[in-house]
Amino acid sequence: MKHVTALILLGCIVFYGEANALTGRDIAVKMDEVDTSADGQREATMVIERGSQKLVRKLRMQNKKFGVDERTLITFVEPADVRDTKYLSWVYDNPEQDDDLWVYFPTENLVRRISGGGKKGSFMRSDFANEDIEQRAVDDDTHTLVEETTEGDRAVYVIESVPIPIKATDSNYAKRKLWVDKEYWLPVRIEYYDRRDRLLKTMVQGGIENIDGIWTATKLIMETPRRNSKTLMQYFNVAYSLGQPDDAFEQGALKR
Amino acid sequence: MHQRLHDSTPNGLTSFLIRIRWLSLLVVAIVTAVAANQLPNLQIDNSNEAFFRSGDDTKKRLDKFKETFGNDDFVFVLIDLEDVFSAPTLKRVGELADRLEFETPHLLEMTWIGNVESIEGVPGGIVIDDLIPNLDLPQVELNQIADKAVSDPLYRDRLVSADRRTAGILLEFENYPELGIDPRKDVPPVVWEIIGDFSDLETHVVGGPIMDYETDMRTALEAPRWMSFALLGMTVMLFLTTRSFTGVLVPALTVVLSVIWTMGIVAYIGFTLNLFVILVPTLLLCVGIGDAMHVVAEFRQGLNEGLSRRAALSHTLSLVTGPILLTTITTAAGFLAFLATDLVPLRELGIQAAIGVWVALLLTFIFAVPLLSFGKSGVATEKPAEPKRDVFDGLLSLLTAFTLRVPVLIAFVFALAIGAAFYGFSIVKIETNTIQDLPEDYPMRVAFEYVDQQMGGSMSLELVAETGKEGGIKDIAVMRDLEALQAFLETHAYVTQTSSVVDQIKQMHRAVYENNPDYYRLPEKSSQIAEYLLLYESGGGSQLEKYVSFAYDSARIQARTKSITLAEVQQLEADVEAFVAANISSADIKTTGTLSLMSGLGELIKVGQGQSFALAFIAIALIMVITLRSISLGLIAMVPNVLPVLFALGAMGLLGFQLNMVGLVLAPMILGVAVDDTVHFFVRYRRYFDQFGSYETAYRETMRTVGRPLLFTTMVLILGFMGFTFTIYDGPRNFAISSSIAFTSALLAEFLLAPVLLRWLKPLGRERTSIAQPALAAT
Repeated sequence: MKHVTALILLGCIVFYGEANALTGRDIAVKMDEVDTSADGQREATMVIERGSQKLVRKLRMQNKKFGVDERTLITFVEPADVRDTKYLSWVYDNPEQDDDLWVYFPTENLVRRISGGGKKGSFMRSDFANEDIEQRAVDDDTHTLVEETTEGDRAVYVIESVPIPIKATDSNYAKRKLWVDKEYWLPVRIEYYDRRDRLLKTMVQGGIENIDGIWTATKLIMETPRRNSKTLMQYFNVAYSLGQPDDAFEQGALKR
Repeated sequence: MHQRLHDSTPNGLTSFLIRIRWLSLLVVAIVTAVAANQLPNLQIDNSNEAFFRSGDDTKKRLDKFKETFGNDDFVFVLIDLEDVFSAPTLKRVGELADRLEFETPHLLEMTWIGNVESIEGVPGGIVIDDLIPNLDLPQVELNQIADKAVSDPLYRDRLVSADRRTAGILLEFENYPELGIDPRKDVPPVVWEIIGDFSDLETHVVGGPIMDYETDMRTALEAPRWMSFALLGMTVMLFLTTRSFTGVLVPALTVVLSVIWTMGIVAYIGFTLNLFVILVPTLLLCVGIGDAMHVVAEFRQGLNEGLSRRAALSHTLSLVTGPILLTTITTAAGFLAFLATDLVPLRELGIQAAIGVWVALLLTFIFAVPLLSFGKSGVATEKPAEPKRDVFDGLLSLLTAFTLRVPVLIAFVFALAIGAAFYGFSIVKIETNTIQDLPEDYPMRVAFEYVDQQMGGSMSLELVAETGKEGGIKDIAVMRDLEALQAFLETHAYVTQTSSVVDQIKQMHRAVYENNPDYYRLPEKSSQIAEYLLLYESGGGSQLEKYVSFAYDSARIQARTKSITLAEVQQLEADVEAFVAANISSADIKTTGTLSLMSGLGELIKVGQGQSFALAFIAIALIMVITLRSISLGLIAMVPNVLPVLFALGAMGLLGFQLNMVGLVLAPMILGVAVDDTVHFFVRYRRYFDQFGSYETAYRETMRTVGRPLLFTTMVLILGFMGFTFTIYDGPRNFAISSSIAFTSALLAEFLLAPVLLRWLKPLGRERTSIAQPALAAT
């Protein structure tokens, strides 16, 4: 009898444990939900180092959520020769729908819609690709929990995110491996792998601050060993829920 | 009394060598085993860059170029097809491209027409998309894409030929890891294996790693053949000339051991082998055999003349130790003269060959001499055996008589030959394009010629415009200069195609203006350039990295050419330089890349050949003057040394041979080898003149005694060098022929011209009236 009770108890524990175990997707959703704000703004400085050369880039980033979709406006500040060039992107949650992107060229006062690829391209010659900067919809990838471990002194989940087939051609990566902090639900480290399962780049996130109630990583370092290249991205003046008007994220606003 | 018997008492050196003979042979056996054990560690490296020292300007420019624009190594796989854009063909090529992308080691990027992006303007926007979005498209759509592809300079004759019959798959590599022996050599075997699985496609493969790998394989295959043939040739010649078992075995074994020891030392030091150094074993066989041959020849002559084994050895050593020591010093000096060049492998060859000749000398004493001491110990007989005369003695007597009879004719013929050689030398062409060295039907050459014919050229001259400031190339003035330079290159006869960032700016300008062809030009303002570049790099723009430096401070123009000769490369460089000097002011333009490397090598060869020859000449002349204790005799002795060099180079010109990298070894080497004959001849000549006081008698005696070994060493040398003709490359074959001409003319100059000059110029003073007569001179 004692044995039966013990077995039932054990069964309950296992069942309870399993019911509480997070899947890879659950973790991705948790990460997606960290930013609870309706909109936000930040300034960014990028220091790109390749070999002995160093470039500094500055930009302003604004974003606003439109339901499940999100719009981002990037205005370039430095170098001076591209000041006021703007990129407006509309990222759709529906994986079937292609994202939209417009570019504003200040010298000619022209706006052009960019369609097709471009996500794979490098962001201002940094180690970040455009797709690394953009918010990624949860279901653009399938997520698998690999293990629970510690990174430094932080408890983390390690998940692997593989693009779903229709998104695979839009991405440089065949797989990303993320170390997600169990407390902040932010990745503290991401490894990017190519189709041959070779490690392409590694990003480490730090400087995590609670800004307006939202955990925010303010320091990102992306390294590409094969190019002997490293980019430090630092965010300043981060602010959330500013009530930015919808039309600031329309293409018509780019020329303003 | 027989003159030879003067020295017949065993001297200290001989006694010592005989006393420790067992120990010597044991040491030789052990060292040989250790050296042989090192041989598997020998590495081969034939890359062009391996030729430059780290401080060399050409190399520095290339290194900087690589740092800025990435590793310029590539492998280009070309597929000969009916129509690249027929749906099944495209799919099949796609499969090959996939395999190559997936399996090729150190790959940074694989590009083919099926994975490139196109940037196109449409009303209100710009479409950045794959040129071929999917390989399953209907044929009609594929044909439309084909029209677009062959009209776009970014793809035409790069990834697809203008006639749509050739597809190209370009493999580019990351900066190789510094691990392992030579990572680029990991690439070709994988590429060949994959291509082997696509036997239904007719492929050609070109590119630096492939070429170097092929050359390495070929060299590894040929080197043992050269050596085997050289050894075989020598053995046959040794047998013909000595007709004795010892006469063949002792010199042959000594020289084989010298090669093993030297190569063991080379492997231990960690030098790599290349097309130059691969010559070393065969070269050593030929050069090293002289010492042992002279020892054996004198020894056998001593035995023939009735000396005991020990006495004959003693006599031999007293007679030849000085000369072979001297020849070793002079030959080593000749090889060490390569240190005057800036070519790394040649410097290494110099050091290795110099080590080799000293090893050969050492082994002559600690191996050949002990070996000769074994056997029945004959007793000195008062009545020496009558020396047998053979065809060689007959020939030598004939030459001696001829020289004494018609000195004016000899001088006249040599003067004529010198004139012809000067003419030949003046028309020798230096060539560093190794493709031209291969037979016309060799697959590698066929592949290069296929690229020349179908894809607009297999080589490229890289021009780098440096502005010296971050963002400098975004300046419209710089862009206009680049455009002008590119336009000039497009009109140049040797250039088939050019590309630069100017093309991309024009393409973006047109795309921003909705594909209106009127906008396929540079914009008006610098800020437009900056904005277009920002969009281009963000919109995929993988090409940008190849044409613009990271900090936008320098840009590159690539000028593609067919496989052109060194002279043509130099002409192209000179034309570019002149154009730049007259028209370009906004940036500093430098040339680099494979063609520039070729041109740099050509310059090094020209300068290196001259410098190392000059150094060898000075060193050897100095040694001759000191040894012969007479400035005039020493300088006359240099005549038969220098003439062979002139004759060899002259013959190269007259025979239409090109002076390539292998040929660079020629002049100092001939000097170093020819000097052996001179040392033996002049040392003996001086000795006999001192003894008999007559130029004619000194000549007769010299010919009678050292004439035979000199004739034999020359014949062995020529036959040994013929080993180099077992090659598919023109270089080693021409080297063998030119060297043979040199060695023959060295001997003729020694036997015929030198005595004439000596009798006319009388560098040893007046002849003495009371002349001692040589005992055996009458024979």
